[in-house]
Amino acid sequence: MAYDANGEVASQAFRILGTFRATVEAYEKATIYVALDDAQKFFATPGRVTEIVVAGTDLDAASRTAQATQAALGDEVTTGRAWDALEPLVAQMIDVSRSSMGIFYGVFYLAMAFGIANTFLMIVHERTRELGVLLALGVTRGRVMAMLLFEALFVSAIGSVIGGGVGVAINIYYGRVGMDLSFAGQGMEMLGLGSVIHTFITPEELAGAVATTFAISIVVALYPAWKAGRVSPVQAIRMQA
Amino acid sequence: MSVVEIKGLEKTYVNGNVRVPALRGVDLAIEPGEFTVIAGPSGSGKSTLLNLIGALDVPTAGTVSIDGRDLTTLSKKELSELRRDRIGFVFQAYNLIPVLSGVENVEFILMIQGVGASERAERARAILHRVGLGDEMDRRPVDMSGGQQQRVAVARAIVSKPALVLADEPTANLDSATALDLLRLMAELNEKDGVTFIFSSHDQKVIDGARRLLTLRDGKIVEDERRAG
Ligand SMILES: Nc1ncnc2c1ncn2[C@@H]1O[C@H](COP(=O)(O)OP(=O)(O)O)[C@@H](O)[C@H]1O
Ligand SMILES: [Mg+2]
Repeated sequence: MAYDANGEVASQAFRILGTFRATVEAYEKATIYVALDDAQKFFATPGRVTEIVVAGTDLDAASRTAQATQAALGDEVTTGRAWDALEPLVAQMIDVSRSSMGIFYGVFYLAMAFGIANTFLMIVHERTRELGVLLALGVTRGRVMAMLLFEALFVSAIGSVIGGGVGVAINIYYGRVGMDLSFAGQGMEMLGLGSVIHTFITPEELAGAVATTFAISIVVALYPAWKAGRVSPVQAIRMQA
Repeated sequence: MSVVEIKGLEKTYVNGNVRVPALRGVDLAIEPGEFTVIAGPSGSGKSTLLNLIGALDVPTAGTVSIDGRDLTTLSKKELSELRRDRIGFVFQAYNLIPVLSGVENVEFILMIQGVGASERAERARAILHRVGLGDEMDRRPVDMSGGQQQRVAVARAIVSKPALVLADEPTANLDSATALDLLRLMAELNEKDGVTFIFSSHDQKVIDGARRLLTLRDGKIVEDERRAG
Protein backbone atom coordinates (compact mmCIF):
# COMPACT_ATOMS: atom_id res chain seq x y z
CA MET A 1 0.00 0.00 0.00
CA ALA A 2 1.36 3.44 -0.98
CA TYR A 3 0.48 6.84 -2.45
CA ASP A 4 0.61 7.01 -6.20
CA ALA A 5 1.72 9.96 -8.38
CA ASN A 6 -1.68 11.59 -8.08
CA GLY A 7 -1.75 11.39 -4.30
CA GLU A 8 -4.32 8.59 -4.37
CA VAL A 9 -3.95 5.63 -2.10
CA ALA A 10 -2.98 2.65 -4.20
CA SER A 11 -2.90 -0.89 -2.98
CA GLN A 12 -2.15 -4.17 -4.59
CA ALA A 13 -1.26 -7.70 -3.56
CA PHE A 14 2.04 -9.20 -4.84
CA ARG A 15 3.19 -12.76 -4.68
CA ILE A 16 6.62 -13.07 -3.06
CA LEU A 17 8.90 -14.96 -5.39
CA GLY A 18 11.99 -14.75 -3.25
CA THR A 19 13.90 -12.82 -0.61
CA PHE A 20 17.36 -11.25 -0.88
CA ARG A 21 20.28 -10.65 1.43
CA ALA A 22 21.99 -7.27 1.41
CA THR A 23 25.18 -6.42 3.26
CA VAL A 24 23.14 -3.93 5.25
CA GLU A 25 20.04 -5.08 7.07
CA ALA A 26 18.23 -1.76 6.69
CA TYR A 27 18.14 -2.20 2.91
CA GLU A 28 16.47 -5.57 3.25
CA LYS A 29 13.73 -4.10 5.46
CA ALA A 30 12.90 -1.08 3.31
CA THR A 31 13.28 -2.38 -0.22
CA ILE A 32 11.22 -4.59 -2.49
CA TYR A 33 11.87 -5.42 -6.12
CA VAL A 34 8.94 -5.55 -8.60
CA ALA A 35 8.80 -5.59 -12.40
CA LEU A 36 9.03 -2.09 -13.97
CA ASP A 37 5.62 -2.46 -15.72
CA ASP A 38 3.89 -3.37 -12.47
CA ALA A 39 5.51 -0.50 -10.63
CA GLN A 40 4.49 2.01 -13.32
CA LYS A 41 0.92 0.73 -13.16
CA PHE A 42 0.85 0.77 -9.38
CA PHE A 43 2.13 4.34 -9.08
CA ALA A 44 0.05 5.55 -12.06
CA THR A 45 3.23 6.74 -13.87
CA PRO A 46 3.12 5.00 -17.23
CA GLY A 47 6.38 5.20 -19.19
CA ARG A 48 8.28 7.07 -16.49
CA VAL A 49 11.19 6.17 -14.27
CA THR A 50 12.48 8.17 -11.33
CA GLU A 51 16.05 6.98 -11.37
CA ILE A 52 18.59 5.43 -13.70
CA VAL A 53 21.60 3.84 -12.04
CA VAL A 54 24.75 3.38 -14.07
CA ALA A 55 27.23 0.96 -12.51
CA GLY A 56 30.90 1.39 -13.36
CA THR A 57 34.24 -0.01 -12.18
CA ASP A 58 36.35 3.14 -11.95
CA LEU A 59 35.64 5.29 -8.91
CA ASP A 60 37.29 8.37 -10.35
CA ALA A 61 35.40 8.20 -13.66
CA ALA A 62 31.98 8.40 -11.94
CA SER A 63 31.34 12.12 -12.31
CA ARG A 64 32.31 12.03 -15.98
CA THR A 65 29.96 9.10 -16.49
CA ALA A 66 27.18 11.01 -14.73
CA GLN A 67 27.67 14.06 -16.97
CA ALA A 68 27.85 11.96 -20.10
CA THR A 69 24.70 10.06 -19.17
CA GLN A 70 22.83 13.26 -18.52
CA ALA A 71 24.02 14.77 -21.79
CA ALA A 72 22.95 11.68 -23.70
CA LEU A 73 19.46 11.65 -22.23
CA GLY A 74 19.00 15.42 -22.62
CA ASP A 75 16.07 17.32 -21.09
CA GLU A 76 14.36 14.15 -19.96
CA VAL A 77 16.73 14.03 -16.98
CA THR A 78 16.63 16.68 -14.32
CA THR A 79 19.75 15.88 -12.32
CA GLY A 80 22.70 13.62 -13.05
CA ARG A 81 24.84 12.98 -10.06
CA ALA A 82 27.77 10.74 -9.32
CA TRP A 83 27.95 8.46 -6.32
CA ASP A 84 30.14 10.87 -4.38
CA ALA A 85 27.41 13.50 -4.50
CA LEU A 86 24.84 10.95 -3.42
CA GLU A 87 27.02 9.52 -0.65
CA PRO A 88 29.27 12.37 0.47
CA LEU A 89 30.17 10.58 3.68
CA VAL A 90 31.50 7.56 1.83
CA ALA A 91 33.35 9.83 -0.60
CA GLN A 92 34.98 11.65 2.27
CA MET A 93 35.92 8.41 3.94
CA ILE A 94 37.66 7.22 0.80
CA ASP A 95 39.53 10.53 0.59
CA VAL A 96 40.65 10.29 4.20
CA SER A 97 41.71 6.70 3.83
CA ARG A 98 43.68 7.55 0.70
CA SER A 99 45.65 10.30 2.40
CA SER A 100 46.11 8.26 5.56
CA MET A 101 47.44 5.45 3.38
CA GLY A 102 49.95 7.96 2.04
CA ILE A 103 51.10 8.75 5.58
CA PHE A 104 51.14 5.05 6.39
CA TYR A 105 53.33 4.29 3.38
CA GLY A 106 55.63 7.17 4.30
CA VAL A 107 56.11 5.87 7.84
CA PHE A 108 56.52 2.35 6.53
CA TYR A 109 59.19 3.29 3.99
CA LEU A 110 60.96 5.43 6.57
CA ALA A 111 61.11 2.50 9.01
CA MET A 112 62.38 0.33 6.19
CA ALA A 113 65.07 2.89 5.30
CA PHE A 114 66.31 2.94 8.90
CA GLY A 115 66.30 -0.84 9.01
CA ILE A 116 68.38 -1.09 5.86
CA ALA A 117 70.79 1.66 6.91
CA ASN A 118 71.25 -0.02 10.27
CA THR A 119 71.87 -3.42 8.71
CA PHE A 120 74.48 -2.09 6.33
CA LEU A 121 76.20 -0.01 8.99
CA MET A 122 76.45 -3.20 11.05
CA ILE A 123 77.85 -5.07 8.08
CA VAL A 124 80.50 -2.39 7.55
CA HIS A 125 81.31 -2.33 11.26
CA GLU A 126 81.66 -6.09 11.50
CA ARG A 127 83.86 -6.22 8.45
CA THR A 128 86.10 -3.28 9.34
CA ARG A 129 89.13 -5.53 9.50
CA GLU A 130 88.47 -7.31 6.22
CA LEU A 131 87.71 -4.02 4.51
CA GLY A 132 90.97 -2.58 5.90
CA VAL A 133 92.87 -5.58 4.56
CA LEU A 134 91.28 -5.18 1.12
CA LEU A 135 92.27 -1.52 1.10
CA ALA A 136 95.81 -2.37 2.23
CA LEU A 137 96.16 -4.96 -0.52
CA GLY A 138 95.39 -2.30 -3.09
CA VAL A 139 91.66 -2.51 -3.69
CA THR A 140 90.60 1.08 -4.38
CA ARG A 141 88.14 2.89 -2.13
CA GLY A 142 85.78 3.26 -5.06
CA ARG A 143 85.76 -0.46 -5.58
CA VAL A 144 85.11 -1.17 -1.91
CA MET A 145 82.15 1.22 -2.05
CA ALA A 146 80.88 -0.35 -5.26
CA MET A 147 81.16 -3.76 -3.63
CA LEU A 148 78.91 -2.69 -0.78
CA LEU A 149 76.39 -1.01 -3.06
CA PHE A 150 76.29 -4.11 -5.19
CA GLU A 151 75.59 -6.14 -2.09
CA ALA A 152 72.75 -3.76 -1.19
CA LEU A 153 71.36 -4.14 -4.69
CA PHE A 154 71.58 -7.91 -4.46
CA VAL A 155 69.97 -8.10 -1.02
CA SER A 156 67.16 -5.74 -1.97
CA ALA A 157 66.54 -7.67 -5.19
CA ILE A 158 66.12 -10.88 -3.20
CA GLY A 159 64.04 -9.04 -0.62
CA SER A 160 61.80 -7.56 -3.31
CA VAL A 161 61.18 -10.91 -4.95
CA ILE A 162 60.35 -12.63 -1.66
CA GLY A 163 58.42 -9.67 -0.23
CA GLY A 164 56.54 -9.04 -3.47
CA GLY A 165 55.71 -12.73 -3.82
CA VAL A 166 54.38 -13.07 -0.27
CA GLY A 167 52.48 -9.79 -0.62
CA VAL A 168 50.81 -10.86 -3.85
CA ALA A 169 49.96 -14.28 -2.38
CA ILE A 170 48.30 -12.70 0.67
CA ASN A 171 46.51 -10.27 -1.61
CA ILE A 172 45.15 -13.01 -3.83
CA TYR A 173 44.07 -15.04 -0.80
CA TYR A 174 42.10 -12.19 0.73
CA GLY A 175 40.84 -11.23 -2.69
CA ARG A 176 39.21 -14.65 -2.99
CA VAL A 177 38.23 -15.36 0.60
CA GLY A 178 37.72 -11.79 1.77
CA MET A 179 38.92 -10.21 4.98
CA ASP A 180 36.14 -10.13 7.57
CA LEU A 181 36.36 -6.92 9.58
CA SER A 182 33.01 -7.30 11.38
CA PHE A 183 34.88 -7.99 14.63
CA ALA A 184 36.05 -4.38 14.49
CA GLY A 185 32.50 -3.10 14.91
CA GLN A 186 29.45 -2.37 12.84
CA GLY A 187 30.48 1.17 11.84
CA MET A 188 30.97 0.23 8.21
CA GLU A 189 27.42 -1.00 7.91
CA MET A 190 26.02 2.33 9.02
CA LEU A 191 27.65 3.85 5.97
CA GLY A 192 26.08 1.25 3.79
CA LEU A 193 29.30 -0.64 3.33
CA GLY A 194 29.94 -4.31 3.89
CA SER A 195 32.32 -5.49 6.58
CA VAL A 196 34.14 -8.01 4.37
CA ILE A 197 37.01 -6.56 2.33
CA HIS A 198 38.17 -8.15 -0.88
CA THR A 199 41.73 -7.04 -1.55
CA PHE A 200 43.33 -6.53 -4.91
CA ILE A 201 46.61 -5.13 -6.19
CA THR A 202 47.33 -3.73 -9.62
CA PRO A 203 50.58 -4.49 -11.46
CA GLU A 204 51.34 -0.74 -11.29
CA GLU A 205 51.04 -0.74 -7.51
CA LEU A 206 53.27 -3.79 -7.21
CA ALA A 207 55.89 -2.36 -9.57
CA GLY A 208 55.75 0.96 -7.71
CA ALA A 209 56.33 -0.70 -4.34
CA VAL A 210 59.21 -2.82 -5.63
CA ALA A 211 60.84 0.14 -7.40
CA THR A 212 60.48 2.35 -4.32
CA THR A 213 62.00 -0.34 -2.09
CA PHE A 214 64.85 -0.78 -4.53
CA ALA A 215 65.54 2.93 -4.83
CA ILE A 216 65.42 3.41 -1.06
CA SER A 217 67.83 0.50 -0.49
CA ILE A 218 70.40 1.97 -2.84
CA VAL A 219 70.10 5.53 -1.58
CA VAL A 220 70.22 4.40 2.03
CA ALA A 221 73.21 2.08 1.42
CA LEU A 222 75.22 5.03 0.06
CA TYR A 223 76.20 6.20 3.52
CA PRO A 224 77.42 2.81 4.83
CA ALA A 225 79.22 2.30 1.50
CA TRP A 226 80.90 5.67 1.89
CA LYS A 227 81.95 4.67 5.41
CA ALA A 228 83.33 1.39 4.08
CA GLY A 229 85.50 3.33 1.64
CA ARG A 230 86.78 5.49 4.50
CA VAL A 231 87.97 2.65 6.73
CA SER A 232 91.58 3.29 7.75
CA PRO A 233 93.65 0.23 6.82
CA VAL A 234 96.19 0.99 9.54
CA GLN A 235 93.57 1.05 12.27
CA ALA A 236 91.67 -1.90 10.85
CA ILE A 237 94.79 -4.07 10.80
CA ARG A 238 95.75 -2.92 14.29
CA MET A 239 92.48 -4.49 15.49
CA GLN A 240 94.31 -7.76 16.06
CA ALA A 241 92.35 -10.88 16.84
CA MET B 1 118.08 2.55 -7.73
CA SER B 2 116.94 1.81 -4.19
CA VAL B 3 113.58 0.11 -3.77
CA VAL B 4 112.89 2.24 -0.75
CA GLU B 5 114.38 5.61 -0.01
CA ILE B 6 113.45 7.44 3.16
CA LYS B 7 114.52 10.95 4.08
CA GLY B 8 113.93 12.85 7.30
CA LEU B 9 110.87 10.75 8.08
CA GLU B 10 108.76 11.83 11.06
CA LYS B 11 105.40 10.64 12.27
CA THR B 12 103.50 12.11 15.18
CA TYR B 13 100.09 10.69 16.10
CA VAL B 14 97.63 13.26 17.35
CA ASN B 15 94.72 12.16 19.50
CA GLY B 16 92.92 15.27 20.67
CA ASN B 17 95.50 17.13 22.77
CA VAL B 18 97.85 14.17 23.04
CA ARG B 19 100.73 14.09 20.57
CA VAL B 20 102.67 10.85 20.35
CA PRO B 21 105.92 11.13 18.38
CA ALA B 22 106.42 7.65 16.88
CA LEU B 23 109.19 8.38 14.38
CA ARG B 24 111.64 11.24 14.91
CA GLY B 25 113.76 11.56 11.80
CA VAL B 26 114.53 8.34 9.95
CA ASP B 27 116.86 8.15 6.92
CA LEU B 28 117.12 4.82 5.15
CA ALA B 29 117.66 3.18 1.79
CA ILE B 30 116.76 -0.42 0.99
CA GLU B 31 118.33 -2.06 -2.05
CA PRO B 32 116.68 -4.72 -4.23
CA GLY B 33 117.24 -8.23 -2.90
CA GLU B 34 117.90 -7.19 0.69
CA PHE B 35 116.56 -9.16 3.63
CA THR B 36 116.05 -6.60 6.36
CA VAL B 37 114.75 -7.09 9.87
CA ILE B 38 113.61 -4.08 11.89
CA ALA B 39 114.12 -4.82 15.55
CA GLY B 40 113.35 -2.78 18.61
CA PRO B 41 111.24 -2.86 21.73
CA SER B 42 107.48 -2.58 21.65
CA GLY B 43 106.45 1.01 20.93
CA SER B 44 109.74 1.92 19.24
CA GLY B 45 107.96 2.68 15.94
CA LYS B 46 108.43 -0.50 13.89
CA SER B 47 104.80 -0.77 12.75
CA THR B 48 104.65 2.95 12.07
CA LEU B 49 107.73 2.74 9.83
CA LEU B 50 106.36 -0.26 7.90
CA ASN B 51 102.96 1.42 7.47
CA LEU B 52 104.64 4.48 6.00
CA ILE B 53 106.80 2.41 3.65
CA GLY B 54 103.66 0.50 2.62
CA ALA B 55 101.77 3.70 1.79
CA LEU B 56 99.13 2.83 4.36
CA ASP B 57 99.65 6.04 6.30
CA VAL B 58 101.03 9.50 5.59
CA PRO B 59 104.12 10.98 7.28
CA THR B 60 104.07 14.12 9.39
CA ALA B 61 107.34 15.21 7.77
CA GLY B 62 109.91 13.78 5.36
CA THR B 63 109.51 11.56 2.32
CA VAL B 64 109.22 7.91 1.37
CA SER B 65 110.01 6.90 -2.21
CA ILE B 66 109.24 3.49 -3.69
CA ASP B 67 110.95 2.68 -7.01
CA GLY B 68 112.03 6.30 -7.05
CA ARG B 69 108.48 7.68 -6.80
CA ASP B 70 107.84 10.05 -3.92
CA LEU B 71 104.65 8.79 -2.22
CA THR B 72 103.58 12.28 -1.14
CA THR B 73 103.12 13.23 -4.81
CA LEU B 74 100.76 10.34 -5.56
CA SER B 75 96.95 10.40 -5.49
CA LYS B 76 94.97 7.95 -3.36
CA LYS B 77 94.21 5.90 -6.43
CA GLU B 78 97.87 5.81 -7.44
CA LEU B 79 98.78 4.73 -3.92
CA SER B 80 96.23 1.90 -4.13
CA GLU B 81 97.72 0.79 -7.43
CA LEU B 82 101.22 1.00 -6.01
CA ARG B 83 100.24 -1.24 -3.10
CA ARG B 84 98.49 -3.62 -5.45
CA ASP B 85 101.31 -3.89 -7.99
CA ARG B 86 104.56 -3.17 -6.17
CA ILE B 87 104.16 -4.12 -2.51
CA GLY B 88 103.29 -7.41 -0.83
CA PHE B 89 101.97 -7.42 2.73
CA VAL B 90 102.16 -10.07 5.43
CA PHE B 91 100.34 -9.18 8.62
CA GLN B 92 100.83 -10.41 12.16
CA ALA B 93 97.28 -11.80 12.35
CA TYR B 94 97.53 -13.35 8.83
CA ASN B 95 94.39 -11.42 7.81
CA LEU B 96 93.30 -13.78 5.09
CA ILE B 97 89.80 -13.27 3.72
CA PRO B 98 87.81 -15.78 5.81
CA VAL B 99 85.22 -16.74 3.18
CA LEU B 100 87.87 -17.62 0.58
CA SER B 101 90.01 -20.77 0.42
CA GLY B 102 93.78 -20.51 0.51
CA VAL B 103 94.02 -20.65 -3.28
CA GLU B 104 91.28 -18.07 -3.67
CA ASN B 105 93.02 -15.73 -1.20
CA VAL B 106 96.12 -15.83 -3.36
CA GLU B 107 94.12 -15.54 -6.58
CA PHE B 108 92.40 -12.48 -5.19
CA ILE B 109 95.52 -10.34 -5.66
CA LEU B 110 95.81 -11.45 -9.27
CA MET B 111 92.12 -10.83 -9.77
CA ILE B 112 92.33 -7.19 -8.68
CA GLN B 113 95.30 -6.88 -11.03
CA GLY B 114 93.08 -8.08 -13.85
CA VAL B 115 94.80 -11.41 -14.53
CA GLY B 116 92.56 -13.93 -16.34
CA ALA B 117 90.93 -16.78 -14.41
CA SER B 118 92.91 -19.76 -15.67
CA GLU B 119 96.28 -18.06 -15.36
CA ARG B 120 95.26 -16.93 -11.87
CA ALA B 121 94.52 -20.43 -10.64
CA GLU B 122 97.71 -21.79 -12.16
CA ARG B 123 99.96 -19.14 -10.65
CA ALA B 124 98.23 -19.30 -7.26
CA ARG B 125 98.65 -23.07 -7.01
CA ALA B 126 102.26 -22.90 -8.15
CA ILE B 127 103.19 -20.28 -5.59
CA LEU B 128 101.35 -22.14 -2.80
CA HIS B 129 103.35 -25.27 -3.64
CA ARG B 130 106.44 -23.06 -3.57
CA VAL B 131 105.71 -22.02 0.03
CA GLY B 132 105.21 -25.65 1.00
CA LEU B 133 101.44 -26.10 0.99
CA GLY B 134 99.70 -29.14 -0.47
CA ASP B 135 96.05 -30.08 -0.30
CA GLU B 136 95.52 -27.65 2.60
CA MET B 137 95.49 -24.82 0.07
CA ASP B 138 91.87 -25.59 -0.79
CA ARG B 139 90.72 -25.19 2.81
CA ARG B 140 89.40 -22.03 4.31
CA PRO B 141 91.63 -20.15 6.78
CA VAL B 142 89.65 -21.41 9.82
CA ASP B 143 90.54 -24.96 8.87
CA MET B 144 94.27 -24.24 8.69
CA SER B 145 96.94 -23.96 11.38
CA GLY B 146 98.53 -20.58 12.07
CA GLY B 147 101.68 -21.63 10.23
CA GLN B 148 99.67 -22.70 7.19
CA GLN B 149 97.71 -19.46 7.20
CA GLN B 150 100.89 -17.43 7.33
CA ARG B 151 102.31 -19.43 4.42
CA VAL B 152 99.19 -18.55 2.43
CA ALA B 153 99.75 -14.93 3.46
CA VAL B 154 103.36 -15.10 2.23
CA ALA B 155 102.17 -16.67 -1.04
CA ARG B 156 99.59 -13.89 -1.39
CA ALA B 157 102.31 -11.30 -0.80
CA ILE B 158 104.73 -12.65 -3.41
CA VAL B 159 102.41 -14.01 -6.11
CA SER B 160 102.41 -10.79 -8.12
CA LYS B 161 106.22 -10.45 -7.95
CA PRO B 162 106.22 -7.17 -6.02
CA ALA B 163 109.27 -4.96 -5.64
CA LEU B 164 109.22 -5.56 -1.90
CA VAL B 165 107.36 -7.52 0.76
CA LEU B 166 106.55 -5.87 4.07
CA ALA B 167 105.80 -8.06 7.07
CA ASP B 168 104.94 -6.60 10.47
CA GLU B 169 105.86 -9.19 13.10
CA PRO B 170 104.90 -12.09 10.84
CA THR B 171 105.96 -14.72 13.37
CA ALA B 172 104.49 -13.15 16.51
CA ASN B 173 101.42 -15.42 16.51
CA LEU B 174 103.39 -18.61 15.77
CA ASP B 175 105.14 -21.04 18.08
CA SER B 176 108.94 -20.88 17.82
CA ALA B 177 109.40 -23.98 15.64
CA THR B 178 106.77 -22.75 13.15
CA ALA B 179 108.25 -19.26 13.35
CA LEU B 180 111.68 -20.59 12.39
CA ASP B 181 110.17 -22.56 9.49
CA LEU B 182 108.52 -19.40 8.19
CA LEU B 183 111.75 -17.47 8.60
CA ARG B 184 113.66 -20.14 6.61
CA LEU B 185 110.99 -19.96 3.90
CA MET B 186 111.35 -16.20 3.61
CA ALA B 187 115.15 -16.44 3.56
CA GLU B 188 114.94 -19.02 0.78
CA LEU B 189 112.49 -16.91 -1.25
CA ASN B 190 114.94 -14.04 -0.79
CA GLU B 191 117.99 -16.02 -1.91
CA LYS B 192 116.54 -18.10 -4.72
CA ASP B 193 113.73 -15.90 -6.03
CA GLY B 194 115.26 -12.53 -5.18
CA VAL B 195 112.27 -11.30 -3.14
CA THR B 196 113.08 -8.14 -1.15
CA PHE B 197 111.82 -8.48 2.43
CA ILE B 198 111.49 -5.92 5.17
CA PHE B 199 109.98 -7.20 8.34
CA SER B 200 109.78 -6.30 11.96
CA SER B 201 110.28 -8.60 14.89
CA HIS B 202 111.27 -8.62 18.49
CA ASP B 203 111.89 -12.36 18.49
CA GLN B 204 115.62 -12.98 19.02
CA LYS B 205 115.69 -16.10 16.81
CA VAL B 206 114.21 -14.13 13.93
CA ILE B 207 116.60 -11.24 14.54
CA ASP B 208 119.55 -13.64 14.45
CA GLY B 209 118.55 -14.69 10.92
CA ALA B 210 118.61 -11.16 9.50
CA ARG B 211 121.03 -10.18 6.72
CA ARG B 212 120.54 -6.55 7.57
CA LEU B 213 119.42 -5.57 11.02
CA LEU B 214 117.97 -2.15 11.76
CA THR B 215 117.40 -1.37 15.40
CA LEU B 216 114.81 1.23 16.29
CA ARG B 217 114.54 2.95 19.63
CA ASP B 218 112.16 5.75 20.46
CA GLY B 219 111.45 6.43 16.81
CA LYS B 220 115.07 6.56 15.64
CA ILE B 221 117.37 4.06 13.97
CA VAL B 222 120.11 3.45 16.53
CA GLU B 223 121.90 0.66 14.65
CA ASP B 224 122.17 -0.47 11.04
CA GLU B 225 124.13 -3.68 10.74
CA ARG B 226 124.84 -5.77 7.64
CA ARG B 227 125.87 -9.37 8.11
CA ALA B 228 127.18 -12.09 5.89
CA GLY B 229 124.59 -14.72 4.87
N1 LIG C 1 97.01 5.36 16.02
C1 LIG C 1 97.82 5.75 16.99
N2 LIG C 1 97.47 6.77 17.80
C2 LIG C 1 98.29 7.17 18.78
N3 LIG C 1 99.45 6.63 19.07
C3 LIG C 1 99.88 5.59 18.31
C4 LIG C 1 99.07 5.10 17.24
N4 LIG C 1 99.73 4.09 16.66
C5 LIG C 1 100.90 3.94 17.35
N5 LIG C 1 100.98 4.84 18.33
C6 LIG C 1 102.11 5.04 19.25
O1 LIG C 1 103.26 5.24 18.48
C7 LIG C 1 104.38 4.60 19.06
C8 LIG C 1 104.98 3.62 18.07
O2 LIG C 1 104.03 2.57 17.86
P1 LIG C 1 104.31 1.37 16.86
O3 LIG C 1 104.76 1.92 15.57
O4 LIG C 1 103.11 0.53 16.87
O5 LIG C 1 105.52 0.63 17.58
P2 LIG C 1 105.94 -0.91 17.50
O6 LIG C 1 105.35 -1.49 16.27
O7 LIG C 1 107.44 -0.85 17.46
O8 LIG C 1 105.46 -1.56 18.74
C9 LIG C 1 103.86 3.95 20.34
O9 LIG C 1 104.13 4.81 21.42
C10 LIG C 1 102.39 3.83 20.08
O10 LIG C 1 101.68 3.87 21.31
MG1 LIG D 1 104.05 -3.13 16.06
